[in-house]
Amino acid sequence: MKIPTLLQSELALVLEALRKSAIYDPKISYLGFDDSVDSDLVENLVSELTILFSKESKKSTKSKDKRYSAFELAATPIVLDFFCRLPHSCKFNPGFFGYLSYRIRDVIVWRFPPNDSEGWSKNFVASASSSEFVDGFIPRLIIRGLIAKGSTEAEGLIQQDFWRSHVLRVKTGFSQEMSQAFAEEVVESSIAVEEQRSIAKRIRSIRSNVIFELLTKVDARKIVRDLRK
Amino acid sequence: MSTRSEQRLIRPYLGIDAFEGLLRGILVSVNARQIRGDKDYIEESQFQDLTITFEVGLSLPEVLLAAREIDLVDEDINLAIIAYGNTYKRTEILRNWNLKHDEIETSFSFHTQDIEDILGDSFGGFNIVCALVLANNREEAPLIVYQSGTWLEKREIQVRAEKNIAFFSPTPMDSAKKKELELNNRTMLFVQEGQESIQYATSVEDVLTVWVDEEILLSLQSNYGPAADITAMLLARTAIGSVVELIGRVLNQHDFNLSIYADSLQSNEPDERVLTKFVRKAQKVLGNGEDWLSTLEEIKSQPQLVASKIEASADLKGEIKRALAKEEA
Repeated sequence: MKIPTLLQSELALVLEALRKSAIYDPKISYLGFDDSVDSDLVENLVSELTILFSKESKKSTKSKDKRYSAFELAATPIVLDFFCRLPHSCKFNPGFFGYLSYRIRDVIVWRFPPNDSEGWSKNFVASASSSEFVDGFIPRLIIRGLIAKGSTEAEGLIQQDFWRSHVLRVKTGFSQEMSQAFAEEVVESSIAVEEQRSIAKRIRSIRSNVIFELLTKVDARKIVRDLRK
Repeated sequence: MSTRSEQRLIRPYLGIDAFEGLLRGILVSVNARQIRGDKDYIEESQFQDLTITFEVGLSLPEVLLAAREIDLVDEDINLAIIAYGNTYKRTEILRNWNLKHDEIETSFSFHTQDIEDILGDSFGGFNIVCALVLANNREEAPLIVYQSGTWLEKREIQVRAEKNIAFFSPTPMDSAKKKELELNNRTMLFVQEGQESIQYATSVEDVLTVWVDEEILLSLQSNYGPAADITAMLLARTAIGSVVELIGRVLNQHDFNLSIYADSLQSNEPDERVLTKFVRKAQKVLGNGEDWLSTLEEIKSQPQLVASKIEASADLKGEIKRALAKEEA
């Protein structure tokens, strides 16, 4: 399959149009060819997410937040499965994720209504900066899914601020055990947002001395619990 | 007076200073080239086929001497080697040896295929951490290392992609542009020098623009055959040759002090200039080790030869195709 990518300049025009509720048809670039890629891979993802979006966005019985949560919960395994099938040539290519974001723009716009902030555009992987990749809608689902995998509590914890501020944007995310331990404690003890912030800060402080990646889940959980005392 | 500030980690433990420097015997090489310092750059294309090799030379008597100062014995300490892939926040514990119970391998390697999401991370790069750590929890007490996983000595190496290795993005040139540049309409390639000197520029676009006939660019973008590869090579050669010539000119200026510049390169000070990025690249290709002055002399005296060597060492075909894709819009 020819690997589709969307240049930042094209993506910027797409976003400008979305902000004005207008339509812009971008030029798609193709970055090489990888015959290990199933040509239906992208189309299947787009189709599955679009169906899911149609289903969740039209439910009138749930609040908006609940619909968002339900969508992300159901979308994460789909996106993770997609990620596992991606070849190297796509995984580390931000232009490819820009293209995917363009293809599911209706979903992203529903989940994050357009505004003029730079933060909104990051949902579309509109920056070539690797540090901002985690702010992309699809990358965020992938990384969150990878970290939460294996912990029912963590997989079910949808609070975006928890993941973005306390796990994905900081080094805590490198430790699956610590991230899961923190998420499990948040879920099981219904920890309020304010306290989450305080614990997250202290976890980061401990990380400067302790290599969390070497800890077991039990050790990590004990650290989180001790921080609450 | 210096205005630079420095962050320093203050660690709340007594007696751990004795471990400082004990990891100096661990050597890390990427594709057979030893990494010196704590940050290294490799070409983006190399991440797909990368071998990282560890040679572990740890002086156990020295470690145990340091350990004794804080009442630790060999069983209390592990030597851990961990790899981190930044884009997807992936972690792999490559080794975690207990100093009493495990035999420490003197040499081992990993290939991209072994941990692709980490060693193949050409976007965010990867980090390697080697650390002497507390193996098990001890009784908690003030100023004492007690939490397992606490590092006694740590060394972190960052490996990042050198993204601008092709040093240019071809820019399409239509008839109007050719007229503006006062070129014949049949001109296929034109290298235009920018306003800024390569001595100070941090972006190669400020130094030169490589104009390419728009039809040639279009045909390259839709053609994956050998003709496109050869054309891409020629474009790369032209661009690199132009950059080397510009650098050669700077190094030949009578007021440019090669020794002072070589010293700054040796000290590994942060320097984002195109000039320095290029010289660092040339240093690797020429294999001059720590001898920066020789590299500068070679660029100065034989710029085209250096350009040829760089061209030969890089996956220019891939790089140029990436650059071409970026210009399609």
